[in-house]
Amino acid sequence: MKNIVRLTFREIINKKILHIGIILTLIYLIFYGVGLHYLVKNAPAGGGMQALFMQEVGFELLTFGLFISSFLTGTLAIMLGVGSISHEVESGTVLFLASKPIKRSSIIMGKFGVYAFSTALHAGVLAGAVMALSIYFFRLSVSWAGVTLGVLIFMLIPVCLLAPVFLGSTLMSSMANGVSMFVLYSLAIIGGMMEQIGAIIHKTGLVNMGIISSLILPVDALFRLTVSKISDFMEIGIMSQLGPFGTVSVPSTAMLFYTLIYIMVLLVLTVYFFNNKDLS
Amino acid sequence: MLIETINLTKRYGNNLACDDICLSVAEGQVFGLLGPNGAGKSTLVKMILGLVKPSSGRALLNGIPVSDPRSRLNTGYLPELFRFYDWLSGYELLKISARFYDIPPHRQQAAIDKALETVGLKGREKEEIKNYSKGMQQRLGLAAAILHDPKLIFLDEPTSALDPVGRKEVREIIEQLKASGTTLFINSHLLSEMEASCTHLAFIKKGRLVASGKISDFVLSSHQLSLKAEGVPAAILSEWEREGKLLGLDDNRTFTIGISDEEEVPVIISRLAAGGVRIYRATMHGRSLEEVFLDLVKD
Ligand SMILES: Nc1ncnc2c1ncn2[C@@H]1O[C@H](COP(=O)(O)OP(=O)(O)O)[C@@H](O)[C@H]1O
Ligand SMILES: [Mg+2]
Repeated sequence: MKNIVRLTFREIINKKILHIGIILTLIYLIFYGVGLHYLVKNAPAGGGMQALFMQEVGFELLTFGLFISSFLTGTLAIMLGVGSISHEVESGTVLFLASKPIKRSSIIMGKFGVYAFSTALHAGVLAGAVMALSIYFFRLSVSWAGVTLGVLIFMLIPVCLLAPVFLGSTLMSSMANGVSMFVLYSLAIIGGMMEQIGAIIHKTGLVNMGIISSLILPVDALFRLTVSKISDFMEIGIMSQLGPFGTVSVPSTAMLFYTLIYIMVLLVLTVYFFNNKDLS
Repeated sequence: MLIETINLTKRYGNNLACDDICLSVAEGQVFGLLGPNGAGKSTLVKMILGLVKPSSGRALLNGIPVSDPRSRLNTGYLPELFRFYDWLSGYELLKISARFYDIPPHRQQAAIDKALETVGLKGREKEEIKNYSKGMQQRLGLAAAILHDPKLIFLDEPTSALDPVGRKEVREIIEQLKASGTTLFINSHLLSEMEASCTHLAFIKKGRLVASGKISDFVLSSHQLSLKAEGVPAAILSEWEREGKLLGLDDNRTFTIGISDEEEVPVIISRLAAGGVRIYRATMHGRSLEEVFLDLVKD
């Protein structure tokens, strides 16, 4: 396993997708910071109004910033992970790896560990930076416990995407896996939005569709949980929760356990299918 | 036995890639598996290495069932279509291999140097594999296969990517390994490669093992008697035909008869002479391995 981990780190560090992802992340953070700077500069001056504006708009922008971040980190996880297994099979390098005296399960677990760690690190740094910028410019009053919990949940987003990506990578070509995953991811995001809209206009049908899409791929639920954990301790009106990226219908904490079980079940399936795969 | 397969079978849909294969390879043998393209050679090796799952049958490697990764501890493998992580340098690849086989850290450098020396890549090891020529990649593959000094090495078409000079070099490495007592299992569709180095041969055709044994068995069991004679009685001709001895017949005067033992020659001649046959010429020759091979693989 140690050797697989080492080899996978070496592999990931070399990937162009990772370099592009990091550059895009930096560009995004710069834009976000500069945007916040000018917004705060042009804020209405004076008294209670200003404090309210700062909290309301600040939170709205934080939610928006996190939404874009989740999309960035999610896309990076998919793009990095689609070929994790299938590319080795397609290029034939898997013969080198799997003919070594190692268990196939340790190939999967070692690789998954590295991919999960790297993308979670990206998610954590990104979410942390977005929060730090918002808190700094808008002088948001937050609870550090809520923020920490929020970032930790946010870090699960790429890991939760990587689980089906790995399963797909043992079953399909890199191409087919990539296409399937983006379709699935889009459905999860759209499902999540429908759930929020459904909650606002009280349409249970929409809410249920959102819940079903959350069960298939619980990334959007993780995003909503992140937002709710951060806002738990904030004194903000209902106003700011009504934006398109806000959270009206908060997923229950049970979703967190569901996500962990979801990841484990998909990993077990991945190991099972990879164990029985002909590597020829 | 280092390798033992028992009724090993692999089915891809309706295609039987390997059909009921039973073979065993003992320590010290250089075992050549010969057969045309698509005969099932690579599939067999991949099953023995746990890469492809058998449809039925069993295989043991180093006495351990192949589903157990520990069976591969003392084994090296040079795959046929050989691709590496081309973002690594040759050196890094060997370092990774050394770790996978648990070579202790203080001995890794020496092992890598020795393997590089053997395959003639010394001095090029720091370059990225993507800049290696095909021949260099093949040698690197060979280096990775011999690095940990395994008891048994599988070489799947070790020379097919190489030019004549490269082929010669690989043959020399094979000779070196053979001399050091390493057991080798070599897949090839080129007889000439095998003839020189192998101690044992097996022929595979459409997934079935059609012959297998010591290399000397193949040559000895295949003498031919070439006869130029007139007036061979029809009874004797049909007898030869029935027994599958008649291998060739030109213009009713030149016969080729397959025999397994030189002692048959005087028996045949005196019988013909007694029957009043006029014999103009009789020559004995052993068939070359190539002829045996062509015979075995033809439909
Ligand atoms: N992954 C696979 N899927 C389907 N058929 C395969 C696969 N691998 C090999 N085969 C088939 O099995 C047969 C044997 O192939 P192979 O073992 O590569 O032969 P050889 O190495 O002797 O050239 C061929 O007919 C080939 O088409
Ligand atoms: Mg082959």
